[in-house]
Amino acid sequence: MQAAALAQLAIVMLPLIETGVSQFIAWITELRTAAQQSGEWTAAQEAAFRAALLAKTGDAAYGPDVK
Amino acid sequence: MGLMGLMGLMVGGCAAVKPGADAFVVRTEQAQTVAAATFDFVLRMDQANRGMWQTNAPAFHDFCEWLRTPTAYGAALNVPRCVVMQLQVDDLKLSYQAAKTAGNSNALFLAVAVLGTAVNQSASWSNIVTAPVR
Repeated sequence: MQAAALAQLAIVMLPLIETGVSQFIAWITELRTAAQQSGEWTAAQEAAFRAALLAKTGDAAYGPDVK
Repeated sequence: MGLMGLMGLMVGGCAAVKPGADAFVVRTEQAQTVAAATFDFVLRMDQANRGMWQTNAPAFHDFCEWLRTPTAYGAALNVPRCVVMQLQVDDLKLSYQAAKTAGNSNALFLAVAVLGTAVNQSASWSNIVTAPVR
Protein backbone atom coordinates (compact mmCIF):
# COMPACT_ATOMS: atom_id res chain seq x y z
CA MET A 1 0.00 0.00 0.00
CA GLN A 2 2.78 2.36 0.99
CA ALA A 3 4.79 1.43 -2.10
CA ALA A 4 1.77 2.17 -4.29
CA ALA A 5 1.36 5.57 -2.61
CA LEU A 6 5.05 6.33 -3.13
CA ALA A 7 4.83 5.29 -6.76
CA GLN A 8 1.87 7.61 -7.24
CA LEU A 9 3.77 10.43 -5.53
CA ALA A 10 6.77 9.78 -7.77
CA ILE A 11 4.57 9.96 -10.86
CA VAL A 12 3.23 13.34 -9.69
CA MET A 13 6.62 14.68 -8.63
CA LEU A 14 8.78 13.58 -11.57
CA PRO A 15 7.51 16.18 -14.09
CA LEU A 16 7.87 18.90 -11.43
CA ILE A 17 11.44 17.82 -10.62
CA GLU A 18 12.27 17.67 -14.32
CA THR A 19 10.93 21.21 -14.82
CA GLY A 20 12.62 22.51 -11.69
CA VAL A 21 16.05 21.05 -12.43
CA SER A 22 16.20 22.45 -15.96
CA GLN A 23 15.09 25.86 -14.65
CA PHE A 24 17.69 25.70 -11.89
CA ILE A 25 20.43 24.87 -14.39
CA ALA A 26 19.27 27.75 -16.63
CA TRP A 27 19.39 30.09 -13.63
CA ILE A 28 22.93 28.99 -12.64
CA THR A 29 24.09 29.35 -16.25
CA GLU A 30 22.79 32.93 -16.39
CA LEU A 31 24.45 33.79 -13.07
CA ARG A 32 27.71 32.46 -14.49
CA THR A 33 27.23 34.53 -17.66
CA ALA A 34 26.68 37.65 -15.54
CA ALA A 35 29.74 36.95 -13.41
CA GLN A 36 31.95 36.57 -16.47
CA GLN A 37 30.82 39.76 -18.18
CA SER A 38 33.73 42.19 -18.47
CA GLY A 39 32.59 44.71 -21.07
CA GLU A 40 29.49 46.69 -21.93
CA TRP A 41 26.85 45.01 -24.09
CA THR A 42 27.05 45.52 -27.82
CA ALA A 43 24.07 47.04 -29.63
CA ALA A 44 23.06 43.52 -30.75
CA GLN A 45 23.20 42.18 -27.18
CA GLU A 46 21.19 45.16 -25.95
CA ALA A 47 18.54 44.62 -28.63
CA ALA A 48 18.39 40.88 -27.91
CA PHE A 49 17.94 41.53 -24.18
CA ARG A 50 15.10 44.00 -24.74
CA ALA A 51 13.41 41.72 -27.28
CA ALA A 52 13.59 38.80 -24.83
CA LEU A 53 12.11 41.00 -22.09
CA LEU A 54 9.24 42.21 -24.26
CA ALA A 55 8.53 38.64 -25.42
CA LYS A 56 7.85 37.71 -21.79
CA THR A 57 4.72 39.86 -21.86
CA GLY A 58 2.99 37.05 -23.76
CA ASP A 59 4.55 34.23 -21.73
CA ALA A 60 2.02 32.21 -19.70
CA ALA A 61 4.38 32.07 -16.70
CA TYR A 62 4.30 35.88 -16.54
CA GLY A 63 0.51 36.17 -16.71
CA PRO A 64 -1.53 36.64 -13.53
CA ASP A 65 -3.98 34.05 -12.23
CA VAL A 66 -7.22 33.82 -14.18
CA LYS A 67 -10.04 34.79 -11.78
CA MET B 1 31.89 15.09 -14.31
CA GLY B 2 28.88 16.73 -12.65
CA LEU B 3 30.94 17.75 -9.65
CA MET B 4 33.69 19.11 -11.89
CA GLY B 5 31.10 21.13 -13.77
CA LEU B 6 29.71 22.53 -10.54
CA MET B 7 33.20 23.39 -9.33
CA GLY B 8 33.89 25.06 -12.67
CA LEU B 9 30.82 27.21 -12.16
CA MET B 10 31.88 28.13 -8.65
CA VAL B 11 35.52 28.94 -9.30
CA GLY B 12 34.74 30.92 -12.45
CA GLY B 13 34.48 34.00 -10.27
CA CYS B 14 33.72 37.55 -11.33
CA ALA B 15 35.56 38.88 -14.36
CA ALA B 16 37.41 42.21 -14.10
CA VAL B 17 35.95 45.10 -16.07
CA LYS B 18 37.85 45.69 -19.31
CA PRO B 19 39.79 48.95 -19.59
CA GLY B 20 37.60 51.57 -21.24
CA ALA B 21 34.34 49.96 -20.20
CA ASP B 22 32.18 51.88 -17.72
CA ALA B 23 32.10 49.77 -14.56
CA PHE B 24 28.69 51.20 -13.57
CA VAL B 25 27.20 50.09 -16.90
CA VAL B 26 28.83 46.65 -16.71
CA ARG B 27 27.61 46.09 -13.14
CA THR B 28 24.13 47.29 -14.14
CA GLU B 29 24.06 44.85 -17.04
CA GLN B 30 25.20 42.06 -14.74
CA ALA B 31 22.34 42.98 -12.39
CA GLN B 32 19.94 42.93 -15.37
CA THR B 33 21.09 39.44 -16.39
CA VAL B 34 20.73 38.15 -12.83
CA ALA B 35 17.31 39.82 -12.45
CA ALA B 36 15.95 38.32 -15.68
CA ALA B 37 17.19 34.84 -14.74
CA THR B 38 15.96 35.02 -11.14
CA PHE B 39 12.46 36.29 -12.00
CA ASP B 40 12.26 33.64 -14.71
CA PHE B 41 13.28 30.94 -12.24
CA VAL B 42 10.70 31.78 -9.55
CA LEU B 43 7.86 32.48 -11.98
CA ARG B 44 8.39 29.23 -13.88
CA MET B 45 8.63 27.32 -10.62
CA ASP B 46 5.27 28.79 -9.56
CA GLN B 47 3.85 28.20 -13.04
CA ALA B 48 4.71 24.48 -12.84
CA ASN B 49 1.82 24.06 -10.38
CA ARG B 50 0.12 27.31 -9.38
CA GLY B 51 -2.65 25.55 -7.48
CA MET B 52 -0.22 23.62 -5.33
CA TRP B 53 1.80 26.74 -4.43
CA GLN B 54 -1.38 28.72 -3.78
CA THR B 55 -2.48 26.07 -1.28
CA ASN B 56 0.83 25.12 0.31
CA ALA B 57 2.89 28.33 0.05
CA PRO B 58 0.39 31.16 -0.47
CA ALA B 59 2.90 33.89 0.40
CA PHE B 60 5.25 32.63 -2.33
CA HIS B 61 2.42 32.51 -4.85
CA ASP B 62 1.29 36.01 -3.80
CA PHE B 63 4.82 37.29 -4.35
CA CYS B 64 4.82 35.74 -7.84
CA GLU B 65 1.49 37.41 -8.52
CA TRP B 66 2.98 40.71 -7.38
CA LEU B 67 5.78 40.21 -9.92
CA ARG B 68 3.13 39.45 -12.57
CA THR B 69 0.87 42.42 -11.81
CA PRO B 70 -0.08 44.10 -15.11
CA THR B 71 1.64 47.48 -15.16
CA ALA B 72 1.73 50.32 -17.65
CA TYR B 73 4.86 50.79 -19.73
CA GLY B 74 4.61 53.43 -22.42
CA ALA B 75 1.49 52.74 -24.45
CA ALA B 76 1.22 49.15 -23.19
CA LEU B 77 -0.96 48.69 -20.13
CA ASN B 78 -0.51 45.03 -19.25
CA VAL B 79 3.22 44.46 -18.98
CA PRO B 80 4.20 42.32 -15.97
CA ARG B 81 5.62 44.42 -13.14
CA CYS B 82 8.94 42.52 -13.08
CA VAL B 83 9.40 43.17 -16.80
CA VAL B 84 8.59 46.88 -16.37
CA MET B 85 11.16 47.16 -13.58
CA GLN B 86 13.79 45.69 -15.89
CA LEU B 87 12.78 47.88 -18.83
CA GLN B 88 12.94 50.99 -16.63
CA VAL B 89 16.47 50.08 -15.54
CA ASP B 90 17.41 49.50 -19.18
CA ASP B 91 15.93 52.84 -20.24
CA LEU B 92 17.80 54.65 -17.49
CA LYS B 93 21.01 52.82 -18.39
CA LEU B 94 20.65 53.96 -22.01
CA SER B 95 20.03 57.54 -20.84
CA TYR B 96 23.12 57.34 -18.65
CA GLN B 97 25.21 55.99 -21.52
CA ALA B 98 23.99 58.83 -23.75
CA ALA B 99 24.71 61.54 -21.15
CA LYS B 100 26.74 60.70 -18.07
CA THR B 101 25.27 63.38 -15.84
CA ALA B 102 24.83 63.18 -12.07
CA GLY B 103 21.06 63.17 -12.51
CA ASN B 104 21.13 60.20 -14.88
CA SER B 105 23.62 58.37 -12.71
CA ASN B 106 21.52 58.89 -9.56
CA ALA B 107 18.32 57.79 -11.30
CA LEU B 108 20.01 54.63 -12.60
CA PHE B 109 21.52 53.88 -9.20
CA LEU B 110 18.09 54.10 -7.54
CA ALA B 111 16.41 51.96 -10.19
CA VAL B 112 19.11 49.28 -9.87
CA ALA B 113 18.68 49.34 -6.09
CA VAL B 114 14.91 48.82 -6.40
CA LEU B 115 15.41 46.03 -8.92
CA GLY B 116 18.01 44.47 -6.62
CA THR B 117 15.54 44.43 -3.74
CA ALA B 118 12.98 42.53 -5.82
CA VAL B 119 15.67 40.13 -7.02
CA ASN B 120 16.83 39.49 -3.45
CA GLN B 121 13.26 38.74 -2.41
CA SER B 122 12.86 36.38 -5.36
CA ALA B 123 16.11 34.60 -4.50
CA SER B 124 14.99 34.29 -0.86
CA TRP B 125 11.69 32.76 -1.95
CA SER B 126 13.48 30.33 -4.24
CA ASN B 127 15.58 29.23 -1.24
CA ILE B 128 12.52 28.85 0.98
CA VAL B 129 10.34 26.90 -1.42
CA THR B 130 13.12 24.56 -2.59
CA ALA B 131 14.30 23.74 0.95
CA PRO B 132 13.54 20.11 1.91
CA VAL B 133 10.72 19.71 4.45
CA ARG B 134 11.90 17.97 7.64
